[in-house]
Amino acid sequence: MHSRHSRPSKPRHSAPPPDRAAIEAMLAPWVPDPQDRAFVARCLGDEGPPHHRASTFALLSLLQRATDLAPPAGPRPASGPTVPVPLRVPPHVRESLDPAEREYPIAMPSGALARCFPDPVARSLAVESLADGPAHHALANVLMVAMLDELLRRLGDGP
Amino acid sequence: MTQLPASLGRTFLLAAGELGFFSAARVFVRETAAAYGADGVRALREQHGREYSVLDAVAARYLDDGALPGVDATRATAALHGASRVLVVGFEADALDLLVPTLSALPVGLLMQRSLGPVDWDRVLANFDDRLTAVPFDDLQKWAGSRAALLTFVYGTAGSLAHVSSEWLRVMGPDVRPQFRTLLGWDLLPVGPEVYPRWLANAEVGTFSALV
Amino acid sequence: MALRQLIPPAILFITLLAQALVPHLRLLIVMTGAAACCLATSVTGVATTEALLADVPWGVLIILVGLGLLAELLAAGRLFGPLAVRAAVASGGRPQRLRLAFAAGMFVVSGLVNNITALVLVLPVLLVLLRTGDARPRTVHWTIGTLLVACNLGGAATPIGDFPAILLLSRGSMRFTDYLLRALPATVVALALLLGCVGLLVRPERGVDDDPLARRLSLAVTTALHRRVRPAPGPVLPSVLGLGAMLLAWTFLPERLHVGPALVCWLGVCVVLLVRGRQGERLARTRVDVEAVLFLLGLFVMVAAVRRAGVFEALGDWILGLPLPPRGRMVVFLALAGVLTGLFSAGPGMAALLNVGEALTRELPGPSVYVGLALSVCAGSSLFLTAATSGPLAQALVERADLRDADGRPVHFGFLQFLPVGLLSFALIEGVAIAYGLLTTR
Repeated sequence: MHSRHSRPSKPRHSAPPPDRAAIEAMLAPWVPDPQDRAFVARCLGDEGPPHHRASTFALLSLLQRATDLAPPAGPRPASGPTVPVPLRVPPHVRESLDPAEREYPIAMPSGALARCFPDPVARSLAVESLADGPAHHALANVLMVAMLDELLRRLGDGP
Repeated sequence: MTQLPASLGRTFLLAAGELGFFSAARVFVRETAAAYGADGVRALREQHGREYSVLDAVAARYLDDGALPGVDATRATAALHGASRVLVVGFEADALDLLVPTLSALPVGLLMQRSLGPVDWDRVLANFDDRLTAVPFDDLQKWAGSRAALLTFVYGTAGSLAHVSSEWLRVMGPDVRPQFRTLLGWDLLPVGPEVYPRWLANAEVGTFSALV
Repeated sequence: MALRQLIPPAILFITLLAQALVPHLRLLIVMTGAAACCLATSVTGVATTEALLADVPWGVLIILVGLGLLAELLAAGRLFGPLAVRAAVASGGRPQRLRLAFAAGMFVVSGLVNNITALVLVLPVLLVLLRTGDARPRTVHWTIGTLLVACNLGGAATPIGDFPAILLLSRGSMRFTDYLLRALPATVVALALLLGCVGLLVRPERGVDDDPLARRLSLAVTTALHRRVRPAPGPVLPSVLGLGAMLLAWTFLPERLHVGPALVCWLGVCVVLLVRGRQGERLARTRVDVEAVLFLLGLFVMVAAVRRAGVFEALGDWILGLPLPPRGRMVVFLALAGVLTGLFSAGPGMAALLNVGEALTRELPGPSVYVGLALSVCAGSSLFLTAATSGPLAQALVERADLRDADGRPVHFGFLQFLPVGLLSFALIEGVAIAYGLLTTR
């Protein structure tokens, strides 16, 4: 019988820093401006708790791999329905910001979500939950939704 | 050794409060050299260098090269290209005198936060002919935005650490960082101080989106 | 004298004493004293509150508010900071020249704007020089002390510089140029005497070695702190042009038009502020010196009550009845005015004494009495640090500047440190006032 104190401790590894260049490459289809891309990549790769950054990078890499392996589809539609991702500033501050700068330079495609959640209430809840929270968290969700949207399109689900 | 005025250290601190460590150091090294030559600058370093690391570094540079370290705003201007507004944290008169005119119509704010001592903000701002807007700390986030930039001055780096004024650490909370697209560090002393950077704080180099 | 006549002066005396002893409550004390005077005169049938309010010289308040707003606009135009830096550079950072340059500059500035504004515009540059130089206590006390007295003298030099002269102008006791041509030379003489005495007799810098690097650094830092401060033509041009137009109107407008000094100021300042649009509106809404206006309003109400009670008339009769020749009576009056102002400060001093002084003009030329009185009030204002409102302000600014001597000890500037400067200044200016009175009534 092992006492609590004699339990062998788990080896702890510090998470490897996410590959910023790889994240920027993943963002490229949705964020054309390089400075905007660097901003979102910083929020994904450098902000938030280390285990979030590492898990985000792992999930994004898997999605990228899946997308790459999926059959190519035609060019993406120039514009589909999207949901903006607001900067997390206090409400009174938000009103004083330039309207063009109140959102992050990436929007969440909502086409696949609409197909998945035909009920508007359920869809609205999903959208709100995905785009809410700290910046690294919300932006990771948004990018994953965007990549999933593209993946589903390549798999034939979508316009 | 050259006898320097007893009040020099306090005078330097006063000047650094409203001009910035680097700009004040340039004034003090220039005037000491003009009055007492290289011997005077050596005495300045000897008597005040350990207390004021930036003064020490500027004096060392003068003694090595026979010239004051220069200021070039080209790279900072380029790094701020495309920004919708710039909020400056910390203050360096020589650097901002060069940078602000290059930003043409861009709104430029100056965070009214100095840990070195009382600052006459009206006097500081009067030098920029209304091109700099005074920004109280409470209004910091009003300058946020998806194309907004934060700028601070760096006084050399040591490994992964950048020497910055402590105001930068007050601003760089995890909530503020994702609210600005650019987090720019402008390194005025790339060689870095040789002595312990007293009165400065350390920030991870990686926390800047660009270091020029 | 009946009891009902004695109540208002008793309230005035107690109020003035209380506001001098408790300066941080002076506004409330004076306003309460004024209300008490209204109550006393109403109950005793001496005068109603409406009558006392009708006696208030509103023109003085209009000129004070108007010139105050104009001074605010000039301050926003950053006209004086660069001039102060130039004066510092011209002095080469040498303490004696610095004192001369700043005293002369302060004299000019406070002749154009009120003393408080003049101090706020000029003193910060001098404080930087003192902070960055070697701030020896003796140098600091005499330099800032001399500056304060120069500020008082500048205020007395022109009819628009400070309250006593504005009162003379707005009450029609003297015309603009009449006052200027008499008071300006007298105050210049007083300033020259003061600076001469300080420079040649007191010599605050004696025994101190000159340090060329300290001087260089002091000037270099001061210049760097103001390196690109330039006067802003937007606010400066309208205020300078407006002030110039007002000076011309005060000087040349014929009396038959009945456009008094207050109306000239009222109209002139409104036009200048309108030219500045939003900035003018903002200044008018936020920068009126309410404290000064209420303080003087309270004083005027009390003085009106005392006058209605017939006390000033009685005092005037007493002075006129002194067993002295008329010029002797004037000397007594001027000396009394100086001391009373030192105790009660310039506003109350002038407001009350002008009524008594008017009695003296029955037997002596008005300008001699009035300018002598203005100079005596200036002397009294310079006696103690607390005698003029600019004194406590200077004290606060110096404390905030955290001046240190060579050993790092804090250098204070308060009542006791100013006293030697005050005593010397009082003696010199009061001497000039009396000499002026005697010389011009021969």
